[in-house]
Amino acid sequence: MIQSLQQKKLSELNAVELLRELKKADPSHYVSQERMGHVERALELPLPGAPDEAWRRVPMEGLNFESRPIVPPLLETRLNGKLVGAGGTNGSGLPAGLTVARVPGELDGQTYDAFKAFRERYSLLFEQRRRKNKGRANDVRENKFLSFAEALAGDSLFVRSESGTRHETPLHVSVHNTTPGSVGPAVVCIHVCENSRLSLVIDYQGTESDTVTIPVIKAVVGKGGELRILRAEKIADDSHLFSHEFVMVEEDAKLNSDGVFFGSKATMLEGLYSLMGRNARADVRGLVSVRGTQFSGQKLTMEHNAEHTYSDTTVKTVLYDAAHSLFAGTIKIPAGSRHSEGYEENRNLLLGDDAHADSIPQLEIIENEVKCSHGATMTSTVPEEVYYLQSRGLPEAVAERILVGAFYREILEQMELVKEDEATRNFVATALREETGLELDPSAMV
Amino acid sequence: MSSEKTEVDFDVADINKDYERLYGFHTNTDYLKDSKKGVSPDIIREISKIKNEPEWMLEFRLNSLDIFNSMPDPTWMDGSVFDDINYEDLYYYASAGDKKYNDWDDVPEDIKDTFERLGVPEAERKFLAGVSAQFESEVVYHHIQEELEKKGVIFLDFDTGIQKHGDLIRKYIAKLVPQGDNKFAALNSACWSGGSFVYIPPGVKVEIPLQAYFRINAESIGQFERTIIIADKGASVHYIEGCTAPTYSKTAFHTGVIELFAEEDAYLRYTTIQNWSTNVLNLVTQRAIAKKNATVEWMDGNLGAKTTMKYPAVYLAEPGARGRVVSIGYANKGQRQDAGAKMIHAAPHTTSSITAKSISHNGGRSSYRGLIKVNKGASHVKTDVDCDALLLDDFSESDTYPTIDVRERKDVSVMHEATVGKVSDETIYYLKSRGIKEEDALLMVVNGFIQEFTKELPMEYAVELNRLIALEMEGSIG
Repeated sequence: MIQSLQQKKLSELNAVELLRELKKADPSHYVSQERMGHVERALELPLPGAPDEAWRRVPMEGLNFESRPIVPPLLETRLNGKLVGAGGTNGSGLPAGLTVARVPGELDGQTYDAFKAFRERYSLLFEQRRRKNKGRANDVRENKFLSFAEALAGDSLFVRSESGTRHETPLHVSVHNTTPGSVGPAVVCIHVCENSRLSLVIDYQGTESDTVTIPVIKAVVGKGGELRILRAEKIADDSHLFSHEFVMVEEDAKLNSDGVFFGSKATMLEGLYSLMGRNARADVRGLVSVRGTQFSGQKLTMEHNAEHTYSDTTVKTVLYDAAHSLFAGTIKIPAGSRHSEGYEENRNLLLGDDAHADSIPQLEIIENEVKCSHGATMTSTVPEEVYYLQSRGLPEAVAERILVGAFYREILEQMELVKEDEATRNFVATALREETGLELDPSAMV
Repeated sequence: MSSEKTEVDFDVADINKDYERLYGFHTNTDYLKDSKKGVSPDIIREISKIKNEPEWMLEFRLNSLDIFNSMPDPTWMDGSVFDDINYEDLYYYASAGDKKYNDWDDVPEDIKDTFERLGVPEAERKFLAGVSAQFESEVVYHHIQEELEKKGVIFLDFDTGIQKHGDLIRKYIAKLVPQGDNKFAALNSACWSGGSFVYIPPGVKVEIPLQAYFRINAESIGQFERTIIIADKGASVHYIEGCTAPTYSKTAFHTGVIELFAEEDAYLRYTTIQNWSTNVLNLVTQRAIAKKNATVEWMDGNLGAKTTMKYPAVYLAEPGARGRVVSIGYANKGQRQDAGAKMIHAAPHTTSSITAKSISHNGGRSSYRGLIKVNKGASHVKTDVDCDALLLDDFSESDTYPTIDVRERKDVSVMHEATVGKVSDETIYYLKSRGIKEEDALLMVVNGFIQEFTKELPMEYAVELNRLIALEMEGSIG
């Protein structure tokens, strides 16, 4: 009934009406207990804001998302530029050991078991991390957007790499909101099984006017596994993007989560990276460029829930015009996570006369056998550096561009997929050129 | 710790520890003018009447009470902190006697006894310019050296200040901390009692630090001290305030409001070492304004109290203003030190620096919570924040919550750095290899860690602080 209701009435019902319909449905039959919880929370919770220090700074004016029609965004998966995984069969261009399926629409016997295993593992780890962490003011909490996406995303995408398989060429997932005025929830579930390596490029597009896109990524990186993600955003200036990214990293596993963010009326990423096993490691890098009156925010929480874990978060932001950026990073080391190291860095380059940068780098440490630090800077271009380049005959604007390019390059060079995959490199260079007008030579990013 | 050392320490004011045995508090003071528990317009009127205050002050108080009643608890901190406060169960005013004492010989024996055990007379013998010792909620002893009076310096308890310089106070009160700034500032504005009023005339440099001691000495008595310090053009002053309190079973409550005004070219330093007993809730609003080329410095030490929430702020209002905060926090068992600093750069060519050091021990929790704000138009700004935390065991907690908000680009440089860790085994090993006992080695490292703070203190305070830290750390090895 829910399926048919979604197909039949999606374009007619707004969010609240749909949620109420869902609430009326017989839970034992159509809607899982978990989803029912999300439906209720999506209806009851207020928009995220105070007392959360990060969310309260996100501009929400003109959002009215509850009265918008819900249209799940287009989800496309490509490998080497070719559409793959369509129809949910593994025969459609996917290498052995890689599964791409729509859930629940395309689940067959095998993928059903795989998805079930993912769900169970994710829930277990999520519950473990919840128990380890003491409640604090800015915690990742229940969030209306999160529950909304979980309750209303039609088919979610499930990507799984089998144990021992390595997928060096990135799978390109694009989440494309194509309907002006709509709100598009989407869920992507990723399971990197033991000793496997998965590379992903996730590309959020909302180039149509006045869209709201609410994607959620949930991932488990199994023992000894490695997940490399590069996210890119391309959202129209009058649109919104509120994304969530929750990754559980198990023993000896590694996560590289990189992002290239360009802002819009409001784009916000809430990232939760939980290091759940010994020797787990996470490197998170972000490059942010905002202009005009755009807003871009990242709230990144790094949890060291096991001994000998390592994390490094770096976000570099360039602000033009009257743009507004927000970085809220938290490193948490609960009791017992000895010999952990957590580092966090946020660098802001203010180039606009009316630009506004917020930085909230936080530490919550309950273990003394650790190394932990954070740093934040906010500066403009150094007049001496600009002057030096001008004295070599470059106009001021060009000199500034060169300095910005150097500022970006530092972070791009640390992004693993950019470093290793040419197509990704070109993709990032193109996105940078289109969004910022900055010409960076892809071959120089290596 | 060796027995020799304990003897040495015994002389020094180990104020918090083992009060009953060492000092035999609390003394049987007659509360001549005790008001009833709880706060209401009637009680406010009564307080105001007892103090013989002008009408405007009564209105100020009543207005503040309305604001207090309509305000919620702060939401940015977990609410459990405020759960213990029962506003109805607190005394809002207690007076130890009718008379003000400006000569030591006139101070009643039992009060003198208390001060003697705290080392106040010694301090006076050594260097005091004037003592404003607050016993209960009212200043009972006040002494200003004649030379200060000659220079035109006003150094009074706040009540006397209201009587003698009401117009001056009216001009400045609540200008930096409005009554509605936060719930506790509103409560303080409604029922303040005690505190200091200091005015330094233009060009006057006060060479010796002005000091005030005050303390809480009765169950459930809230202290609501109100302090205003004004350093007029080109003036210079260093004000030192220290708090001590004996231990009682019920939660004591201290919420002060301190406003500092540094006019053009003035220099104002406010040093405080707060060592409340571990049942006190210490919620203080401290704010300063620095005008053209003025400097304001907060030296802030927080050792005691059950919960401390204290964020000294400097509003850098005019070009050339400088702000500086150096703070240390020591959170021992059951304690929460939530301290930090705020710098608001509202004018170009302003600079600020914040150095915050915290030590957590025996499960204590220390937090740095701070704000750096650079307003639009405040170009050529430089600000540095350094917060370092030391965890002495593996179940204590340390948090860092800085906020940086920058809205100007021209030649603005904001740096923030924070580190958290333990005393490295290598350091201890190195010192041990030089024949130093492990506990002494640890103490050396900790004293080195907070040196940036102690070196800013007058000698007597620095020595006392180091001893206090040593006592706090007793038994931290093994």
